[in-house]
Amino acid sequence: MRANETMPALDTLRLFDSCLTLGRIVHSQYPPGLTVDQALELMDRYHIAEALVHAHDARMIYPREQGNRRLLEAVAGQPRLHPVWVIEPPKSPGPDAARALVMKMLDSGIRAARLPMKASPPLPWLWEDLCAALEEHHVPCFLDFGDVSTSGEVSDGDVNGVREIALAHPELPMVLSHLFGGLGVHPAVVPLVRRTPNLYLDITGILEFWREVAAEAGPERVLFATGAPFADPGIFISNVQYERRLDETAKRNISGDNLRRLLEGVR
Amino acid sequence: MSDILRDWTAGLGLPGVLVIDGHIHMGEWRHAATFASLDEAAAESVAALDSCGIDACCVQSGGYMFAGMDYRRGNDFLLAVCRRVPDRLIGFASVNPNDACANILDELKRVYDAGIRAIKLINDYQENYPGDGPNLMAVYEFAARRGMIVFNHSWRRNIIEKISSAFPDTPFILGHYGGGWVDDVLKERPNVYANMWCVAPQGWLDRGIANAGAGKFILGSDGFLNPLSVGIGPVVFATASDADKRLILGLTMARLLEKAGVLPGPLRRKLRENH
Repeated sequence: MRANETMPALDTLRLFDSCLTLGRIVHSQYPPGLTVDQALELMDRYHIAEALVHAHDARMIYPREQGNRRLLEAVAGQPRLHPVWVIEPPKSPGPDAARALVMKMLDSGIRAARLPMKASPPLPWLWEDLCAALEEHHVPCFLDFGDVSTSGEVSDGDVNGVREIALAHPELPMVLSHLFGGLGVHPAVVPLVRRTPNLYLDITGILEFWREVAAEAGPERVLFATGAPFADPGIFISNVQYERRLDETAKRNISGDNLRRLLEGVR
Repeated sequence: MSDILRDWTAGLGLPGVLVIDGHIHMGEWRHAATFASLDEAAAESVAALDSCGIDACCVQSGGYMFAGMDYRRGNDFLLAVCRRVPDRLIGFASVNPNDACANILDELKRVYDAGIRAIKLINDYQENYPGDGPNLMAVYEFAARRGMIVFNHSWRRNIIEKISSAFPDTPFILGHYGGGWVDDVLKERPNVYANMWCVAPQGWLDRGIANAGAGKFILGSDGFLNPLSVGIGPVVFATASDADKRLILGLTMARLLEKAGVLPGPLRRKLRENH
C-alpha cells in the first residue's frame, strides 16, 4: 500500500557510501567481491552517488601497502570512487615515520584512512604518533572493528581506548566502524559519542542503534554506509530513506553530506 | 524499471502492492522494551506500518519467549495488542518446549481458542531444545490437526526434512534465510518456506530466488527491534520481476494466512484483487 507520508526520493539524498570493499573475496559466506566496474554498477543500481572504497587485501594481508597500491591503480580516473588506505602505526616510534606515512597518503590523493582496530587495538600509546600526524591534516579515520566482513564488536577496553585517543586528538575526526549490533551494541557507545565531539558512527551492520546516536548526539554524527559486498545495500539504504522521525535535512546529512564535510576539511 | 522499485525509491511506499511483514516482535526484551505500554504498542505499530506502506504484520513475542521466562505472558501481550488492531496485527504464539508437555498444549489451546492460528518457535534460544524433541513433535501435531502455521527461528536440515515430511499439510517457515542447504529444502518440500530477514551479503536474495523460486520467500524485518524498511529494501532492489516481488512482499504469506483462517477481512479483499 502507499505510505501515509511521502519520504524523500532516494536521489535527493545524494548517497555517499562510506564503506565499500573492492577486491576478490574467496569465502563460502560471501559473494566473490567487487571489481571497479562491478562497484560502479552496484552504485548505479542502488542510487549511490559516491563511495569511499578500500581494498579487501589491504584490510586482511600484510604488507598492507600492496593492497593500498593496487587500490590506487584500480580507481584511477574514477571520480565517484574515493580511495581509502588501511594503515597502522609505523614500527618506528616518534613523529617522523608517522608524518611520512600520512604525507605519502595525502600525496597519493587519499583523504580518509581505515585503522584496523583488531590488528592494532586502540591503545593510546600505540596510536599516539600516527593520530597526531593524521590530526595535523584533519584526515577522517574509520576505526575498523570488523572481522573478515563488516561485523564486529567492541570490548570495555576498546571503548576506553577510543575515548582516550579521541580526547587526546580533538581535531581528528574518528568514525566507529563495523559495530555490528542486532540486539544493541556496547552500552557505552552512546555515552562515549555524546562525550566526544570528534567521534562519529558509521551504520555498517547497525540497523536500529544509529537512530539513538542521531537522537542523542545529533544526526551530524552518523555516516551512511552499506558495507557491500558483505551486506546487502538495500537494507541500509531503505533504513535511512524510510526513517520516520528524522527530517529531510538530517537524512541528507547522514546519507552523504556529513562525510562530504569531513573530506572537505582535510588539509 | 520495476514499478515497485520506482515507487519505493520515490518515497511513496508500495502503492498497489499487498504487503505483509512476516517477522515482527512485540513486547518486552531483556535489553529493552519495544514499546512502553499497550497503548503505545498499538499506536506506534500502526504508524510504523503506515510509514512504509505495509498492510499488516505477523507479530511474535519479545523477551518472554526466551529460556527461563514464562512464555504465556508474552502471549498475553500479543493477544491484547492484536485485539486492539485486528486488521493489521496477526498473532503468532510462542511456547517453551522445556515446559511440561501438558502446559504447552494447554497454552496452545488457550491461544487457539482466542483466535491464534500460527506458532513462532525459537528453541535455539531455549536451551537448544531439539527441533524434533517430543514436546516440539507434540506442538507440530497440535498445529497439523488444526491447520496452523509453524514458524521457527531456525531448524537444522535433518529436522526440517523430517517434520515437513511427517506433517505435509503444515506450512513450516524457516527464519533468517541465509542460503546454502536451505535452497535445496525449499525446492524439495512444498510445505517449507523461508522468511528472508537476515543481514546477509549483497545479492543473497537474488540467488535464493534463482535457486528456489520467489514463491518460497516471505518478507520479514525482525521489527520492532529493527525498522521495518530493512526487510523491504532487499526485496524491492532485487533483480526479480515485479510479479516475484509481489509474492515475497505479501501474496505468499497472505495465502498461508488465508488457508489458516486468520487473514484479516480487508486483506482478503486485497488478496483477491492482487491474485
